[in-house]
Amino acid sequence: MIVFENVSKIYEPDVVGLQDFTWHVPKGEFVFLVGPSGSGKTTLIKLVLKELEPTEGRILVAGRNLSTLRRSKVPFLRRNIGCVFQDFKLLPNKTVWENVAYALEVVGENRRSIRRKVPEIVNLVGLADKANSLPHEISGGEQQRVSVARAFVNHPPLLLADEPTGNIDPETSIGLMQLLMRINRTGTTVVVATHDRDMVNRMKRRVIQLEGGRMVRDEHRGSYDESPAEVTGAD
Amino acid sequence: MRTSFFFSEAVGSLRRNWVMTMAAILTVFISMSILGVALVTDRNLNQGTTSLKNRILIQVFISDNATPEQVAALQQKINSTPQIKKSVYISKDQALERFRQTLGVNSAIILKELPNNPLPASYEIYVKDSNQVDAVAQQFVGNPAVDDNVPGSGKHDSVVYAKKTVRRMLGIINLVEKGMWVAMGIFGVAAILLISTTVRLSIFARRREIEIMRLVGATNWFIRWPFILEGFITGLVGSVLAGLGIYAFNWTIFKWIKSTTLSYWAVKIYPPWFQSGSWPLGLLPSLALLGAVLGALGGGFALRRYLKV
Repeated sequence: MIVFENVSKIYEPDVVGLQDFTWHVPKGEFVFLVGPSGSGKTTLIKLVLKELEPTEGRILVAGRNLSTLRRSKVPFLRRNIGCVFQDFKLLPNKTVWENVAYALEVVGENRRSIRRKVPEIVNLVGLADKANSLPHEISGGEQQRVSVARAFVNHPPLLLADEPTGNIDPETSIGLMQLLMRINRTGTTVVVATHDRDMVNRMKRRVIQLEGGRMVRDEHRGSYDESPAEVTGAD
Repeated sequence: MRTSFFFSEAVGSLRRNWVMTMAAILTVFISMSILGVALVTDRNLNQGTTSLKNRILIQVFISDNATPEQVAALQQKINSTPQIKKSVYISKDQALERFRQTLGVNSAIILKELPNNPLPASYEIYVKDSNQVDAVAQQFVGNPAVDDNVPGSGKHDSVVYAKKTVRRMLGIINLVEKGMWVAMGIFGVAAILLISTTVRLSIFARRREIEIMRLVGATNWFIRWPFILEGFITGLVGSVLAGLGIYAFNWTIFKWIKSTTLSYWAVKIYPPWFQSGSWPLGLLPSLALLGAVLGALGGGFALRRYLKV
């Protein structure tokens, strides 16, 4: 689903975003990106969305080579990628229902299928009774569920989440992660960048640790820190 | 094309950002009003001068002693002068009839005392170009058929034409007209700048929304259409209001001129627009269309910098 080959991103004048990064995410996988702020997690996500261009290297997303992808085709790439952000990025003047429907309007779905699909997904994230609320009228956790609903309503093959639990409390975070897991079970590849230690440890999924723009660890069924087994082994 | 979706998006956001909408409409209204007033004034002055110019005629008085051959030669000369638009022959009887009408009710008493008709026959000559009045008139001075001894007149008064005041007036109006063109140019540019600045402001306020639309995978045109429609609606409403304002302005001026002592001549120079032919029917819609198109262009262009992927 995602292939990075020796990708580097150097910001002007010489700040390293990502350095010599090689990465492969197969279809249907659930991956955590962990690491301190400034380690390159967000750079990575922006590169996948072609919001940024790599300084060096090759990126393939859903079979498309991003360096040869024409600008006018970028919207079509993004329709294959659901996005969830720390700050939710909901349209402030639209209701929950309209925010979710917008993603469908963009791809040109007809009225009837919008009326069918939106309630379906709004129910799935458990917001049926808030469908007509505006984003500022609901809690942070609920807003994040709306943004997950919007990201997933098109059933994209890939879902990216950048610090999705960064602005919500721990208990709500668990519910959100469970939601992402359910989405993953439908076959969608999910990449979550996070600081959330408990979350990562509980999930036991593939963990990629970044530091200063380099991958320092790639562990399947891993935890936030080095795995206890390795720590024990070192004793 | 998802016309109804774009339209409801545009109307919805106009309503939500109603303060910005009012500001934009007001901007269009003011710019278009200024532009429109300049256009109307120019147009009216133009018509005024045309009617003044038409009034510059040369009167050539024919001597009572002229022989029919001399009169025929004069007629021939008038017909063969290319600068002359048209000429009208006024016989002695017609001249007297006009005089009687001018005098009104007292004419009978005065005219009864006259032994014979003292008024000469004449040609009224209209030239094509008012600047050539002098040249044309001079050709008839000293013509054998022309009476050089009109009672109470000095030399050459038998050829009477364009008085100095009229010509000076035309000069002033000409200057005003040129000034109007300059003003219209300036105000036109000002209108475009004002409208595009207002649109840019309203887009700046919503740049986050645009960013989100792009992240969700909206194409540039999908984002652009509602903004273009917004600009179109704003421009249309603003310029229609401006059109009504101009109508009121013009009507007020006309009324005021009519109430002054100068009314007869002044109204000729500054007519109410519905008397001045078909143009107001063209002006209002074209002003509205201009406003709407400017708004739409402003909306489309101002977005550009936010649509770089």
